[in-house]
Amino acid sequence: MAGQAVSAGTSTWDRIKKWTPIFIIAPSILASFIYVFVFAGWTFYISLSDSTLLPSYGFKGFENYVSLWTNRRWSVAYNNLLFFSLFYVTISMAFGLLLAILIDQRIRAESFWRTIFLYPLAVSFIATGTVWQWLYNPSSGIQFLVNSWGWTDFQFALTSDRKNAIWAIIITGIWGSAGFSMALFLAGLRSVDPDIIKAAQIDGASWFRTYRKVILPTIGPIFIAVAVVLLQFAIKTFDLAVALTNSGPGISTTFPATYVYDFMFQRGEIGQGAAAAMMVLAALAIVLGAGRLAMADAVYGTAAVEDREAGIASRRRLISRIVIYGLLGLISIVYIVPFLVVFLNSFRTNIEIGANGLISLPQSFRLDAWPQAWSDFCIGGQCNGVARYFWNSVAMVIPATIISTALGAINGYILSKWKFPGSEIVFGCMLLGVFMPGQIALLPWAFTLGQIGLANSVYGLILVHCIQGLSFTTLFFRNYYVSIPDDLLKAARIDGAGFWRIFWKIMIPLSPPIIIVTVIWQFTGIWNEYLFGVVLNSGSNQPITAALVALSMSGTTVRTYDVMSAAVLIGALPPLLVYFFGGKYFVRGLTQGAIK
Amino acid sequence: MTFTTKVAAAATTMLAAALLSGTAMAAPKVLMLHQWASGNDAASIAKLGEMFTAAGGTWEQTAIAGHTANTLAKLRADVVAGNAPAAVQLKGPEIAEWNATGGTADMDELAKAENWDAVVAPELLPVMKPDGKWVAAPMNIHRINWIWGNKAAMEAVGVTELPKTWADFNAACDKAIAGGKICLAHLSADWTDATTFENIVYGQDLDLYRKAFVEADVDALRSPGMIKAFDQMRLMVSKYMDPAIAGRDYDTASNMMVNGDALFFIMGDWELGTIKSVGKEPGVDILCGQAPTDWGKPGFILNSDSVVFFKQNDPDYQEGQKLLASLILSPEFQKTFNISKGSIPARLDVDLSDGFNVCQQESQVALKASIEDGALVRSMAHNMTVLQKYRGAMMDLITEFVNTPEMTSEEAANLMADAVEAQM
Repeated sequence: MAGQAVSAGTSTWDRIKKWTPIFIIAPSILASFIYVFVFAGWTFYISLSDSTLLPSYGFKGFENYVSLWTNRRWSVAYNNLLFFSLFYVTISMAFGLLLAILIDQRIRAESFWRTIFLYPLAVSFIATGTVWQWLYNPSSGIQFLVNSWGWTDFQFALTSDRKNAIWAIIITGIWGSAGFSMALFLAGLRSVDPDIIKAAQIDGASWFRTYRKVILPTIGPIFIAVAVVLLQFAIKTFDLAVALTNSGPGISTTFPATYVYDFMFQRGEIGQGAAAAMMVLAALAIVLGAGRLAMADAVYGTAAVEDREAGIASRRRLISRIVIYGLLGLISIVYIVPFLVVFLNSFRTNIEIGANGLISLPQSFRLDAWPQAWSDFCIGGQCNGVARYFWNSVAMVIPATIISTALGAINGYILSKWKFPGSEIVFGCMLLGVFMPGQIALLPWAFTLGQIGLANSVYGLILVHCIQGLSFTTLFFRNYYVSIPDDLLKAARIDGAGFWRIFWKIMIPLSPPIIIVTVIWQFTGIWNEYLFGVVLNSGSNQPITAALVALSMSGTTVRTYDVMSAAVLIGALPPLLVYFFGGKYFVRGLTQGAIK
Repeated sequence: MTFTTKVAAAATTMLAAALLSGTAMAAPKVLMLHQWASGNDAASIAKLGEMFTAAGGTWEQTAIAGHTANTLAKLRADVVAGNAPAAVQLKGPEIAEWNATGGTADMDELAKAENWDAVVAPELLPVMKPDGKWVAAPMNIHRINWIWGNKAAMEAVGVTELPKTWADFNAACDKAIAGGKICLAHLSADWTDATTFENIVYGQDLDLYRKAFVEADVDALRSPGMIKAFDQMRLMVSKYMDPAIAGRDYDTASNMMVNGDALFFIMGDWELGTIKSVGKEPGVDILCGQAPTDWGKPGFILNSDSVVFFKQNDPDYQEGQKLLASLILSPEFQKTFNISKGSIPARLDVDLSDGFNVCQQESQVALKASIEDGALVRSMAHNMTVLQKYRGAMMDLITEFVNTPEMTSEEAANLMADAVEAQM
């Protein structure tokens, strides 16, 4: 409310000061407005137009929607999405909850276990998909390995079986994001008031009963939050399906997002692609709307994260240590193996990989693949390795992360502490940006960047990522700042502190956890993004993900697994380091900001 | 240095540069967008870059690996951004489509001066000149209807020569199975499934091929002939190929034939590059022949790579386009480019006796003969005939049929016709 500003001073200076927050947030609002409404609005119009090869503006009504819904491939796509969502979301949640409960048993080396389950989050779906594709490949992956042990009838060929290929995507998807739901659940479990747990145990409730009747019900809102986030991932599934099965065998693993891309970009059916994109957007809106309704009564401002020691001490003996560590150990093998496979293959020769399969201990040890991947290998017609792509990504990710995080902090501060008439609506609109699928924004971005002269440059990508990131960063900071008591600010204002002084002296010192969450989120998201990098930039201006895609989809040429392995690891290293050093704060920060 | 001396120095430098670059003040430049990112293809295109640079031009390229979708997405983004590349690798009906948007450059002047109409294969003219003006330059002609055979493996099971008809093919395959070998190496992807299938349709019924795959005639797609073709495809998928075709990469499939695990491979002539890269000699260890036809004449399913030119405002780029087009159609480039790529020149007046292998020479003979006999067709699977939306609908269905054992041939033909009709 505007009235929160302290005194109704009438001097011009006071009035200017009163408007400061609005001036500061105005550019962000404008950018988000263009991004959310103009881009989506344009796509909606295009979906009603006769656009084919290029956008054109002849109106033809709902014909594109009619032909969309009569297209067999579209029905495959949305059936896949329903099937995928159902299993991916429920299994990811169940699995994440199991991991969270295991880790919550006051285990030793907790951060070690947590890092194992979280690291897939740091790796791009392009890299994950490439590596899992190797594992699923019957003639060199898991089936080959088991067959070579003597069990020659063993069959594991998910990606080449039309009916089961979707399971390959589900399994890999769960592997990639169960860590995320674990982090959210863990954050939730840690926020439960230890006294309640103690009370339950005094009443003689068993371990299982305590969880089922006491702990889990209190973190109900987190279930909804996890479900909403995972569903959103599911609807946007694109990179993984492209890298893992490329919609095959046949068209059996087509997803709505890949359908949009195929029709808009490959088939030159921009109108129908836009219609499909609007359906994707509608699905996302339904999930968002349902999520918000369900969360309406959720408690904003989760109780301060109290130290959990007291509560857990009694939980400790309830479950056998052996079972806990055994389970954690087994699960972590599944998590480590793909990494290990890539790591080891980067030292093996291609001939050896061909003979012994992809999953095998090295018989030889060579470092050649690394310098080759870095500076010699031919990618995109030039034989300079991934180095230049790597530096492009560095030059893109650092400014984009810093700027989007800083803007998010200021916006979040204004939207929580300097509310103005309509600020809630503004926040709601910015939030919509979280749900925009990338394919919708692609052509509008190309046009915009061309108009302002930033086409095909790293600066263009920085701008794109800053604006696309605004909604996330603003959401994180806003929800985090809401839980900071207003009294603190009131006292500061009475002492004469202004907008900036409060920001620097009160808000920022309280912000490290959410800054770390936001930086991790933005850094990994921007580093791993590939659609914009490939389409908006060309040649020597492309980021590292473009190089990885080029390597993994080399079409009719010989696969060089050793160099690909080294390149995948080089490309995954920066976000892995960020996770490794920041992971500790990630869970803590999530509790306080992101999940609300 | 004073200001005047600086100006004088600069003026001298510019004058010297102008003199050095010959008569034209414009320095030819080109940015080419293509998808030949690796291996043989990349080496071939690098050759073009070298020739361009040697001719005094400034060569830049954007190679986009992987799917055509990425190249087209990039082109679309560039055109929407008002930043169209000077030269783009595009083919078939897409040339006409982009021509219709008004963004392509008119190369007629150069074409007349160099007499392209007389030397380029006639089947390519309507593709390169969608409304009568040259907007594209063809780089090569690929033949799609090849069958490759491993000589040793064939002999081992008592097959003496490459099958001429589909009945021959089935008989040879039965021998292969009896001898414990896979008959046909294959990898299942939309374009490979469609390649095999269009060979069947073409080999069984030339007219049906034209009606269904060139004219997208819905009744032809639904016809008994098409059902018969699907029957043959089902027989091959279920019996003559191994069960692990999905998810296999190209090399693995090619090596199955090259190593003799499988007898045959039905694939376009880029396979020659793969055969050579593993040290086998085409025509000696690996036999090449026309994919089976039941009508006993030389046939040719044609695919051609070409470069389309987009309008440029900068005179340097306009010069660059002319230089590039002229180089692409020069006999020297047509020769060096195609020797390694497995294809043959788009010009019919290039002599193949030097440097080209026997399969490529046979390809040129078949091309000329099929032009005379009227058996030449363009490839649907390789995007030389119908619009991408129809082709996509056809390929979706063909690859779905291959991967769906319970789908009947009648269903497949009807569904394919329905899918194409829905796009009309």
